[in-house]
Amino acid sequence: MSTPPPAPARQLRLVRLGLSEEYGVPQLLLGAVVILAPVVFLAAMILAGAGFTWWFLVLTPLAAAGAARPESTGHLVLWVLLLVVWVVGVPGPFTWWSVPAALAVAASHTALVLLGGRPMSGDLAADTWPRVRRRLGTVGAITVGVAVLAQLVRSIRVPGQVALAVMALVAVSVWLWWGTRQAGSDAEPEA
Amino acid sequence: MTGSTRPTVLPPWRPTAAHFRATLLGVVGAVVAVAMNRPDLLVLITPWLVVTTWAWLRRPQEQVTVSTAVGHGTLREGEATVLRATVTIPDGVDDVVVAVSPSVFMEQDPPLGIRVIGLSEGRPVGDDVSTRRAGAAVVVRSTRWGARSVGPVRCGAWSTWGAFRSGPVDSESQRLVTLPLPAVFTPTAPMPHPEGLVGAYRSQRPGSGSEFDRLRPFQVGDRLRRIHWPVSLRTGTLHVTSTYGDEDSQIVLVVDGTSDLGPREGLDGRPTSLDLTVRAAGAMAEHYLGVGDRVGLRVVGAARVPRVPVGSGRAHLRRVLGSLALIEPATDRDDDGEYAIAGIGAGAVVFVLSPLVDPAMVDVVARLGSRGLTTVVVDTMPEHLWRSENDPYTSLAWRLRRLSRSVDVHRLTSAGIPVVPWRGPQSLDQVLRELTRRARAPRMARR
Repeated sequence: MSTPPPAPARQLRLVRLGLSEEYGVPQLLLGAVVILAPVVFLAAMILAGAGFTWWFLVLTPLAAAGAARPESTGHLVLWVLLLVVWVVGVPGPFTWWSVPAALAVAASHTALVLLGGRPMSGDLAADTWPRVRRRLGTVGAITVGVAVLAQLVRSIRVPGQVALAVMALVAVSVWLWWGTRQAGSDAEPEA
Repeated sequence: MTGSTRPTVLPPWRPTAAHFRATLLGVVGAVVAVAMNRPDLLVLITPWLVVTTWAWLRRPQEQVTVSTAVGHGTLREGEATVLRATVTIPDGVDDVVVAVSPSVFMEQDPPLGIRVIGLSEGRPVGDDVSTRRAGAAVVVRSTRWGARSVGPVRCGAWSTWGAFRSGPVDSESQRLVTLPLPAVFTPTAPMPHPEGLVGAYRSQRPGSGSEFDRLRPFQVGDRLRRIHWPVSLRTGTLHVTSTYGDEDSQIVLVVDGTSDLGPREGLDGRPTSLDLTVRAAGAMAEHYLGVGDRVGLRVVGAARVPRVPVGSGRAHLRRVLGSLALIEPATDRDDDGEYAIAGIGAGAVVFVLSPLVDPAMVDVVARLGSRGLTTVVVDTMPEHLWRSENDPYTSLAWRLRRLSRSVDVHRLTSAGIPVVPWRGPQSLDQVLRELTRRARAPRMARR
């Protein structure tokens, strides 16, 4: 008539932060990424020459509070603030420290995407981590490519260098789109 | 799989906050970078631009559908079944989250009932490689008898880079009936009023049974195979082996659904009074139907539980257990029990299973006794209710209640109706033997 009783259900360890929902282990790791990404961004900013160490004290708790609600506008405000601080604090026009800062941006966005809307507890899909690694690799490679392009254009002192970089980015997007069309419905665009 | 629901189509895809944030920061950042001639800012916003473009190019064109099915519509207490959700995943979908809402007296594995399905877990649907189908299974274990719903199953889907979301929406709940797990009941005493033509009990009269009666001279109509040749040859006249007839009993279970005392802790915890009642009734039905008796079921004080007429066989046991599972205590406060006890045959043995708390049930038992029916009250009041009570006021309340109950019990036993506490396998042996002895003696009944 029915299946025999299964083994006792496995216990799931959950953590509650203050009044928040209960978090599973993968979600806690993603939350840590969300909190640490602004710290990495600020560290890169300081190494790039900005003197805003006290922002650590303001923005990190903001990130921690925002991590509990990944779909809140707090993250938008946080990253706008960080970009403004970068533009104001870091002497331009280019620094290689923008690459690790951009990678922190990518990591933060990926973590927020995985946290956003989904249950705060429970396992992720089996293919989540390989997929995330592959995609972050692609985004990182494109970011490095853009940085190299920007540095190259700046070094040869071409007028309108940033506009050229934007055009290059658009070209990359078109290439991605073309790659997606060619690879069919199953494949994901490769860097 | 049974009870598969119609596929639920998830709502249209909508951009998420993450996509909005990435688009805004990327586009505005690019404009500012160009305006202020800051290539480093362009590098910073590159991930957002790439992600936005990528997600836009890979946005799903079709919607996700989900259907659920439960492996078994009927379980016994403590058994498990699988709630399976089948989803179609169109191209461009990263994850589909399926979450089974927690239900009372239902354990789930995974513990939170959440499964996340990735695109790679899907199998192509026919020749269409752009759409895949995947299943997510959640094991549900029922820990208490009764009819209840499992679910609903909440389902949501996310596209590439979490840029677009569909749902979450709830699909239909699945109905699951949990039959009581009968307690162990193995009486050795005979029934007081065997009747009928076949069964496990020895008749008072000779007949075509299996138990030896005596050797007697041959009469017209005796079967030839009954002839006892050694005695016939020794005496010179034909003798046959005479046997007693076999008979079955008609048993009516009257279940008290007027109250449910004690905390409901399910199969793995302490039983309530109704748990004891239902499991004892299930055990008695299983035993007596197993030995060939006819069993009927009447429920007092619970609405929507049909009367089960006397019957026999395995299918009838399923009917009795199914009716027991439908009991919701105290859903019919106006029930005085008259409908339940009407039409019980004169030769039936009536077992009333009750904690004897509601005065209506005491009256029902008294009426059964006054009609001359052989009635046995099985007391299903769990003792842990007052034994583990530490609060002095609650203890006092229980003491008063037990005093009141003892008066009722005394009134019933004075009227010749035995009251036996339910103690498991052979709780009723002594009282059934006494009733069998009493049934052979002449008696008077008020009609």
